[in-house]
Amino acid sequence: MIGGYLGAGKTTLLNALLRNADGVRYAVLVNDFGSVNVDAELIASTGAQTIELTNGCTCCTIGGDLILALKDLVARDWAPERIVIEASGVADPQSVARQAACHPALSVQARIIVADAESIVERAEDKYVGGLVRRQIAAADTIVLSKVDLVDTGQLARLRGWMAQAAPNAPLIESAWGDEFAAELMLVHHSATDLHAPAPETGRHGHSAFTAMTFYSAEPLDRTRFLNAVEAMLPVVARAKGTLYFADAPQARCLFQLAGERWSLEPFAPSERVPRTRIVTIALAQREGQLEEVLRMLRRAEVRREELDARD
Amino acid sequence: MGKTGVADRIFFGGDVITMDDKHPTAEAVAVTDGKISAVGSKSDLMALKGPSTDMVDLRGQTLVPGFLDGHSHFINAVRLASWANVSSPPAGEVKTFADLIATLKAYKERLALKPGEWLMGYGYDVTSMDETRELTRADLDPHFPDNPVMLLHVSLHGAVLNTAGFKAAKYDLNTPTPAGGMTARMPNSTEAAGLVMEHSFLPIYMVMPTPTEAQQLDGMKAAQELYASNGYTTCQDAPMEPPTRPLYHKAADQDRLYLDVVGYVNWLEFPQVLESGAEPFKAPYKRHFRIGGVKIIGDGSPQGKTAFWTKPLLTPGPSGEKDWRGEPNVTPEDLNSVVKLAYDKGIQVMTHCNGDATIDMMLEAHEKAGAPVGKRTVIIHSQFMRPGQLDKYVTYGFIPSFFTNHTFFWGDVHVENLGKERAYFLSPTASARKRGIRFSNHSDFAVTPLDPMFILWSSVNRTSRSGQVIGPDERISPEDGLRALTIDAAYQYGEETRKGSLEPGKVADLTILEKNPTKVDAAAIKDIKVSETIKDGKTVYKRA
Repeated sequence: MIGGYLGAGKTTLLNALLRNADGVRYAVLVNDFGSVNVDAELIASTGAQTIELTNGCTCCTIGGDLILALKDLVARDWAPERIVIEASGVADPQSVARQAACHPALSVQARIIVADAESIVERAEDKYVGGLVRRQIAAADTIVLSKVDLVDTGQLARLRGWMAQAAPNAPLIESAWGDEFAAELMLVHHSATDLHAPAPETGRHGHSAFTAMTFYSAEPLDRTRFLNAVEAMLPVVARAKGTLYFADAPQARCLFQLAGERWSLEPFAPSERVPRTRIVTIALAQREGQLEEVLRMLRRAEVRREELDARD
Repeated sequence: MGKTGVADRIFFGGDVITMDDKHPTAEAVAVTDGKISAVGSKSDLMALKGPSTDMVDLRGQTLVPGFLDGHSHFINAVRLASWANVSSPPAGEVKTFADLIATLKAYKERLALKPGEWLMGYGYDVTSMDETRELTRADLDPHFPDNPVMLLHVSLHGAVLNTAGFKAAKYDLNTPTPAGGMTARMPNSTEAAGLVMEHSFLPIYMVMPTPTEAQQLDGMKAAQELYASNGYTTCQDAPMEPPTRPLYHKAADQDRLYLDVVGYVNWLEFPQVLESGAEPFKAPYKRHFRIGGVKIIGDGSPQGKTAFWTKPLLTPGPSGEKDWRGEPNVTPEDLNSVVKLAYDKGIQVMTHCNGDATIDMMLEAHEKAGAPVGKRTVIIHSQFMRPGQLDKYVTYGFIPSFFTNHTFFWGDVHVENLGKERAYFLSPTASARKRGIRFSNHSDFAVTPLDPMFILWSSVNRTSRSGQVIGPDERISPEDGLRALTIDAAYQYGEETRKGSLEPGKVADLTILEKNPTKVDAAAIKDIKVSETIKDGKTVYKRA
């Protein structure tokens, strides 16, 4: 279940999940006002089925949409393996999850609330929606803090503290707006928790078992220094993915992927929306310090304008 | 007097309440070609009598305009058409388990159910019966061994099943009670006894047979019979569930509708529906169906504590929360955008607002849309208002559709949850009248019974189940109460020039009441029966 207030990035997360479907048959239930923003092409390519839930209230009519939609999905010949419910901005994740859990064929894997780093604190104080926003967060089992690239470090630190109060038991995953890898990180996170990953150490207010960091750069990278950074990643990083390009071949964009001990670099045809260099890394929370060092190494791999000029 | 010529029907011989301020009473009403052709004295109207004129002697009964349904969910009547009514008074006749079983048996016979076919009932509520324990499958099994039975709880949040019912639903009797559920157990046993509520009920709900389109189209007949038997000639479904929108058009195209049905588009699909041009928003009735506008659901219900108030309740929230104020069902952003969009397109907005905080949101949405006048925006329920909000209703021309049946059904509960001051101001009909606000009054069927005389009784008496008067100052006269079911309800629909009063030229939608509600003792209003209902001049219901 993906919930959260309007504009927090629920649909972005959902789209990213579908992009990373890896052959899993998804069904998507969307329950929000306005157009369905789930990428239609994407759905076709993953075989995901989309159902819109359009009953705002179940108290006056006999029967809720959600229940009927779930019933219908489960009964299909080609039933989905995973169902994602994109709840409306005012939905109570607990209630949605409980309803879904009542179907004997279904179990609830995640109650994810997406919170907008820029506005969540203000929202939580709003005279109309404050109460429900706070309850949404409190009922989540995972919080995705979106748009973290739009707040400064001080704000982010305060947000982490605030979130630790608001949702002390929910792992916090930080994500930048439009971050297409966030969903993959979620998947890594969840499969890891399924496998009983070690409990997070204290410090960093006992949040996620995992920590994620993203490296952005407008500059090309030096190949040797980047490979050094990858060497340093191997014992630290559980999963990494990103696009980049090297100073020695500025026209050749690469897709970098790392999982466990294996990593690869492949040619990559970029879409315009992807920044020139961006690498998302995820590691166990207790390795946060080492991960920061990896990020510094990546930063040192940047080839700045002066260096390029010097090379010429 | 209206136009001359021979009338098709002339009604005479009883009181005539016209709801026309200029001529509040009359002796007779003439109908020609489905329209009211004359209203006046019996002697004057005799001039319109021809050899073919049907002279309808009221025999002391009372003629009123056909009732317009301020707000209900017509589709529920379609669904419940093939279900047994196991409600207790005033919604039904069932007082004991013996009554209940007799009702079910009669229904089974009427529907000629074969073994294995579901026998469904609605309205079960032991707290209104002369019984001291919940019904169990042991009560039902001896009488219905071969048919799965499911009796929907009055709250619609649960049901009682018999053993065959649990079996048909593939529900293991030893299923543990899930979080948020309630499963009644047999004494000294771990087996489910019959009643399952909330989350315990959902697995059963999920396997319940859903009616086919053909069944629902057939259900339109029984649904209209139900509304007609309650004296309604204009009915509402707000909001329509998206899958039922085409159903109404189909029913209309197949000439299955004889009462007027007004459907409101669910706000969640409103932008898409508008963009696709799928619904004729401002078109007149086509074969008795039209689209009224858009319905927004702003919050939940006060009795379920899911309405949205500015001040906390005196009792804990639904999950035991302290200082519980409820929650909106819509974000202010979405509300503002739907209201603006509808206003820009000249489409009527109808918003369900039970708590004063939701009403604040709606007032703000109206202001943000430029605070236009003359939009006839309807605030369904307007249940727990602050007096100052009524003044804003006046300024903005908002039309409240009140729900005074709450005074009876949940009045005592509201006093407990909200305290006297707030509870007594629920559906403030007298305060609204004082300010000159035109309002309707509704059943919210299937939440409470359709019975318009019960609605009228509740607005005049405001007596709770325990006998407490819920807001003595908000009681209104039967005349004012009737306005809310006729002319002012017509105003809400923008149909006050065609319906809602007995005036020449208006549609001949008429209802005959057994007694005159403005003359009987106030406490007896609820006992008045509808004798006959006339739509477009034709009798569509006659009490046996």
